[in-house]
Amino acid sequence: MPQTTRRTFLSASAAGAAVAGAVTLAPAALVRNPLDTDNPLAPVRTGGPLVAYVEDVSSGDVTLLVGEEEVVVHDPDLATAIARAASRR
Amino acid sequence: MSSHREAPEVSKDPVADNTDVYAFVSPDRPDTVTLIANFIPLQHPDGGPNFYEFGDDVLYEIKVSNSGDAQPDVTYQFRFTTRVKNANTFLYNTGPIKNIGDATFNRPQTYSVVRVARGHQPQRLATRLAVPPVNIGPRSTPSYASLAAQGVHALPGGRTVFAGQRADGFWVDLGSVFDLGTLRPFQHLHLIPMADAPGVNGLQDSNVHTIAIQVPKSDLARGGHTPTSVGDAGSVIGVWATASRQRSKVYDSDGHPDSFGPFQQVSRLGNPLVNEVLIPMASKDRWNAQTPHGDSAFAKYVSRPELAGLLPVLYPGVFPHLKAYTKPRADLLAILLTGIPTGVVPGFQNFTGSTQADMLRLNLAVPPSSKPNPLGLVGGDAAGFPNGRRLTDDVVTIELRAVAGLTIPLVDKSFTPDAATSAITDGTHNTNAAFLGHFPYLGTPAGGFQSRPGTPHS
Repeated sequence: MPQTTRRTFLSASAAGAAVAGAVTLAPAALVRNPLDTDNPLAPVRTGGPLVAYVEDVSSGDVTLLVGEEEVVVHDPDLATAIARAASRR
Repeated sequence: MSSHREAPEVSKDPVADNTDVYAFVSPDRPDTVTLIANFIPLQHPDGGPNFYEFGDDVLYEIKVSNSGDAQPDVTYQFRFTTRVKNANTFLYNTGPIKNIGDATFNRPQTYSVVRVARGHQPQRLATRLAVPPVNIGPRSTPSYASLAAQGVHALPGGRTVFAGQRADGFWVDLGSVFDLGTLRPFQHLHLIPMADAPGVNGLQDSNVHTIAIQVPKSDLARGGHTPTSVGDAGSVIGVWATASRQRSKVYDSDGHPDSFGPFQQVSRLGNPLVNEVLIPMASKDRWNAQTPHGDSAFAKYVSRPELAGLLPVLYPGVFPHLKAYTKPRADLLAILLTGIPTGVVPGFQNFTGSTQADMLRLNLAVPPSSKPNPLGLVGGDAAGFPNGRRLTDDVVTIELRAVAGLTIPLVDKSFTPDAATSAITDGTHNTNAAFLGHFPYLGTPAGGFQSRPGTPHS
């Protein structure tokens, strides 16, 4: 914790300058959430990770959760293939 | 409690737990309405080192219906983003925080506000608005009241917004009401009697996280008008708040969660105590996930409230009239699910139509009261609950008395309330932090250093 000294605790302005230096050196640590929640109108990203959810294999429906969207694909072969893959350990 | 920890699932998800909703014509700016939604219940002021904060993965919304169908016509959406300025310290603050933007505030949150009008494209009102830190103590957050005031932001269109920690404005004797419905001032009459005692405010010194927005009446009313006639159906709005999470959350190998899919509502609140007291435990989570538009499915729990049947059992001989009353509770159905139509209370109505929906109904044409009565409408003050809800309204007493039969004569003149009904109270009064005379009205949150834990007994 090199930026924290007795002086920084007693002087808000001094501590501010020290931490600003740390920010410059480690910008990747600034943003924790991968979604830009400050910009809720941003378009859905493509090519990113997604979750496939099969609630009932016999229905043939596969729910794809991507970004803030949901796509339901009716594909019995895909649903069965996912179920079979999940049963292999 | 009003809606603190009121349902099994959301009680395990406090960041999304909506504790109270308020809607009132602003007393110091009567051309505006203030809408308040509180989240994250029962905060210990000293709850560090990772202090309470809004959820980046939660969609917070305050919704308003003005067309009588209990669907949202105006929605305000709030989304939060948390940053860590200094990744090399465990400290929430690396020195005193004197201003909201100080670099010593190591874990600041910002948020966006979006207004969605039914049938229109969403309108972004602001981004990157600062949330004040929590009230840690005199060294970390000196002059907290003025520090928090920096979190009041002006928005376009004459709107004002605040998001951050506040003192809880709700009061109730938690310890007694959940111990088989005990009311300490009358507990010698309880089925398991004890000596009478004063009430204990279980929420004293407890903080919450508040989202408050103050908007012109025309921002909410049907057709964008400013209502002036109490009798006009267009003067009434229905208000509720929600919290939603994306359908799926996945943790990566570093322990960081990522969320996927559309938002699913997990918390809902309109009138206080509805899901808490009226809806059975097995249905509470489902109730939280529904829209008010579908509340007819729950109307049976309002027309035959379990609590009305329990009172004569828990207090033998005290409620003979209530015990003998077997009709559906048309009074509660009106107060909570449709609003009070014209002709029931002289000079007043907040009827939103026949659609049964739990919404906090506010007649915008009723001016603020110069001398607010904590008992609201049943106390002769039409500016208070159940006409909207002000911070000072004693909703526990109002609803206890209503469930016990005080409001039945509004719709059934043949019924005479039991003598005890108008005296019912849990014995508490507002001993929380003093309310402010201006936006955001809720009091300064209790400080971690300044507050003292309670005294346990077993």
